[in-house]
Amino acid sequence: MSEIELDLISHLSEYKRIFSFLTAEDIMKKELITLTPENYLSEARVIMRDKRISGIPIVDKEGKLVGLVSTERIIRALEEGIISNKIKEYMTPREKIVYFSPKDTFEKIVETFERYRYGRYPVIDEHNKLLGLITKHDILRAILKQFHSIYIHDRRREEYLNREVSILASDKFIEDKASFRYDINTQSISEAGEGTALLKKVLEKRGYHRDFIRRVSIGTYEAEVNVVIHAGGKGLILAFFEEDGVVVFVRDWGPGIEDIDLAMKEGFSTAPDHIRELGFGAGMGLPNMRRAADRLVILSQSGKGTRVEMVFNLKEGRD
Amino acid sequence: MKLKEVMNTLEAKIYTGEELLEREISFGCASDMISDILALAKPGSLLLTGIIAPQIIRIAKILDLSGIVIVRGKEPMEETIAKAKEERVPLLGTKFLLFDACGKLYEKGLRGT
Repeated sequence: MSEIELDLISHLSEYKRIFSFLTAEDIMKKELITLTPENYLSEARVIMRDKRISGIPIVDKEGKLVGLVSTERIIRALEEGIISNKIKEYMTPREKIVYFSPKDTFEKIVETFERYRYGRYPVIDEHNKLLGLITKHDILRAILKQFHSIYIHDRRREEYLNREVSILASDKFIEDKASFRYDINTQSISEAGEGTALLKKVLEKRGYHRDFIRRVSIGTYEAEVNVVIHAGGKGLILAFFEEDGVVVFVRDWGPGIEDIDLAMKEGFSTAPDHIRELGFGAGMGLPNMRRAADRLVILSQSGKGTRVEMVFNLKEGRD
Repeated sequence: MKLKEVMNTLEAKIYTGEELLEREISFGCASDMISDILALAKPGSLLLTGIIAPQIIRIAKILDLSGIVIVRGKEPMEETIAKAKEERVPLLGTKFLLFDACGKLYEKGLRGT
C-alpha cells in the first residue's frame, strides 16, 4: 500500500466506534476469482492483468484456503524466469496468511490493516473455507454505504474540519457521567415530552438564558416525540452540561430511519394518521432539530435504531 | 393587548387562568401542527389552535407561550384542562374559525412578528 492509502486507513480508526457494528462478513467481497495449487503462475498473471486485481486466493477442491498469490510474487516470478511453474511451490502458504473470521469487528480489521501492510486479507470460516476477501476498497465501500444513514449538520463546519474531532462526540461522553438522564418509556403520545419538560426545569435552575433553554427544549422535544411516535416509546435522553454549552443525546432502539435525506425535508412525514390528528406529523421534526441545534448528528440504520446528537453552544451576546 | 381583551374580542370562554387575565400578550401565533408552532412561535405568544390534546400545554410550557385559545368551538380534553391548571397556562375557547379569530385580533393590533 502507498503512504497515502495507509494514511487513509489510519484515519478510519477514528471512526471505530461509529462503525463498530460492521463485521468482516459485512465488508468482504464475496464474488471471488480463485485458483488451485495446480494452476500455473502464468495463469495467475493473465487473470491479474485482465481483471485488474492484485491478489488471488488459492483453494483446494473443497474450497479451503491453502495459499495466496500477489502481484509482487508474479513480478518476482517473471524476473526469476519461473512464470511457467505451478503455483503450489511459490504461493504464500496458508500458515503465513493473515486472515479474518466472519464475525471479526471493524475495529480489529482496521487495526490489522494498520499493523500488516498487505493489500488483501481473506475471510475464512472455522473449517478454513474461503468466504470472501477484504481490501481497503471493500472497507471504504462498506463505509460509504453507511453514510447513507448519517446526517450531519454543523454551523461551525469550517472550524470543525480543521480540528481533530470524531463525527460523533459521544466518545467523550460517558453515560454514567451525564448531568441529566431520562428514560423514555411510554407509548402514549400525551406523555411524550416529559423528559424535555424536566430538562427545561433543570436548565432554568442552573440559570441558563431563556433563549438558550428554548433552543435546547425545542430540539430535545422533537427528538423525544420521535422516539414515542416512531420507535415504540423506548429510548434514552442524556444531557451533558459543558462550559461552552449543552450536549443532548437521544437514542432509541426502534426501527431506524429509512432515508435520512428524505426525513430532513420539510413537510415530509411518516407519522400515522391518528398521530397527525393530534397535531403531530407536520414533517418539521428533523428540520426543527437542525434549526435549534448548532450541531446535529443523526446516526440511523434501518432496523438498528437511531442516535441523535445535538450540540447547543452558548454564544456571547446571544445566550 | 391584555388577555382580557383577547377574551372579549373572541367572545371566548375561559377554562382556566382567570387570575392571569391582566397578562400582557406580546404576539400571536396560529397553527394546528405542533412542529410548526415549535418552529414559529415567539416567547410570550398567544397560540390559536385546533389542537385539544394535553400535548399543547406542554408545548406552551416549552415555548413560554402566554396563553392558548382553542378555535372552532372545539372542547379541550379534560386532561388538557387539568394540565393547563397545573402548569398555570391560560386556556380559552372560541367559536370562531381560526381565520376569523386571527383577523379579529389582528384588527385590534395584535401581530405575529
